[in-house]
Amino acid sequence: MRLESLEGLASFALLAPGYDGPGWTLLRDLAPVSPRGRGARLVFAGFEDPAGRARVFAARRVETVRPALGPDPGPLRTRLDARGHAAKVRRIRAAIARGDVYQVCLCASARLGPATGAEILRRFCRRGAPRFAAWARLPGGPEFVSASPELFFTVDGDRARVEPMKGTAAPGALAELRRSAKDRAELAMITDLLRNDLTPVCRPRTVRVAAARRFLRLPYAVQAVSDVRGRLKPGAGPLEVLAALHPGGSVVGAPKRAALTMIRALEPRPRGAYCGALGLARGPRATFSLLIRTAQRGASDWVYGVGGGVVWGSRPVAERRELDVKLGAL
Amino acid sequence: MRGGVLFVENKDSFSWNVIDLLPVPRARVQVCGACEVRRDPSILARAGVVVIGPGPRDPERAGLVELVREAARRRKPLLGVCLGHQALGLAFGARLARSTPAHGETARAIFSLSRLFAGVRGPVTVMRYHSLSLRGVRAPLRTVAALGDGTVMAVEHEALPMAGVQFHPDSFATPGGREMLAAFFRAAAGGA
Repeated sequence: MRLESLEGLASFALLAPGYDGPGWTLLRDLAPVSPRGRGARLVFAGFEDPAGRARVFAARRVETVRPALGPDPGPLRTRLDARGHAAKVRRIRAAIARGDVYQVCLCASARLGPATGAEILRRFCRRGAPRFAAWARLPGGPEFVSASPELFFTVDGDRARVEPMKGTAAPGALAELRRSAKDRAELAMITDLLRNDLTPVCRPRTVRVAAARRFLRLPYAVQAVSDVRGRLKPGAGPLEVLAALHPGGSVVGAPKRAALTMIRALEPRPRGAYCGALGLARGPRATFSLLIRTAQRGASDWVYGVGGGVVWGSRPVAERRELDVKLGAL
Repeated sequence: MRGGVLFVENKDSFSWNVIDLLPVPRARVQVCGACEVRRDPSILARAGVVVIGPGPRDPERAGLVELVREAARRRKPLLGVCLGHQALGLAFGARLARSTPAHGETARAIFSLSRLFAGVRGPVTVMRYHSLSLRGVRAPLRTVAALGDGTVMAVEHEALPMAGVQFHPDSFATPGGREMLAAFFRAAAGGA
């Protein structure tokens, strides 16, 4: 399937095999439906959307496709707006020292383009498609292209699983990632946070950490994740889990309420689709990704978010430099 | 144990981990914010055991120190976790000072013989989420667990059924957390 053929569609979602493999899924002609509908449903929540207010769509056609993901269009033009980033990191560290917050995920944004959605998706997939790569144009907006490697959660009947991710390294640098005390601490914190968020929708004492830290080998990187599982309470399904977890702890920080207050005070514009959630539900099963590494179409170009968790051990200049490194990958 | 557990929630992202660890059915746990408990004294009066959960900020600003004093006047069994532990310390004359922030890091806490954590002895692996810690712990409190560098990790009252832990027994990385809470409930509240 040629990616360019999607440009003319009013609404669609193209989802990598991670959502509902083995192939890519294309949903055409999306229309809002009641959350309890049957059949395939696409679920979306932007970062600022209140928990429990996700949008749910059904598609007129759902098919398995093989998108032509080559050739790589080459580096995208990127312009980062990270004014005052180092000063913001210092403010967060001062708040951590006071005990006001433990970690804040601080983001900045870059402009990409000019480029088409197809070009951005090809660039994102040049070293293999990320697990939750996606290109979606929702009725009434937004439109976004995502290269997310992060599973937010899955639901299968009464079984829920979340997979918080913290720590990325080049494929050859696994040993370094394994040794990093900062990455281990950040992952531990997010693991405890997600246990907390999952517990109210689960039966008592069923939430457990199945793996405290394991390493996912992807074609282009190694990532540290943990596995948290729980058994849902009667009546709780994918939308109740999303309402309990949204916005995802790994893109907010801890405790969530204090971290969100700092994010609102420090970031100049809403994150939108970036750091939101996208899921595909079919009957009792659902898979949601966390929309990191995501570009959203704006009026004239694409806005791409970059960020990282700021903890006590973060150094302002290094955090600022990390944004360039993350963006440089494009 | 008479009455249920009053869990004082402090806008934290670990509260439910503590609630899920309590050795009582969830239906017997009442979750309230500190403001609510101050406004309605009957909430504290009805509680069988008070658990003050973790949270950001410091216990004075969170309004918890007075709540501990009121619980002591009523001789309520009380367990403080992290922020709640700091509130207990301040209510009985200890000070609160900044320490090197440790969030998501495990450490070895050395437990000495204690009345309310019977059976918890020697070095224990605990998960830390704090940037403040108690100093100058004195009677009627005593330190029952500390790190190698002296950082206070747990205190208990000499006579009242009140104790606090600076670390997070609720973390997945504190292997003995459930047993610690069960020990406290047995000793302080006569079992669940």
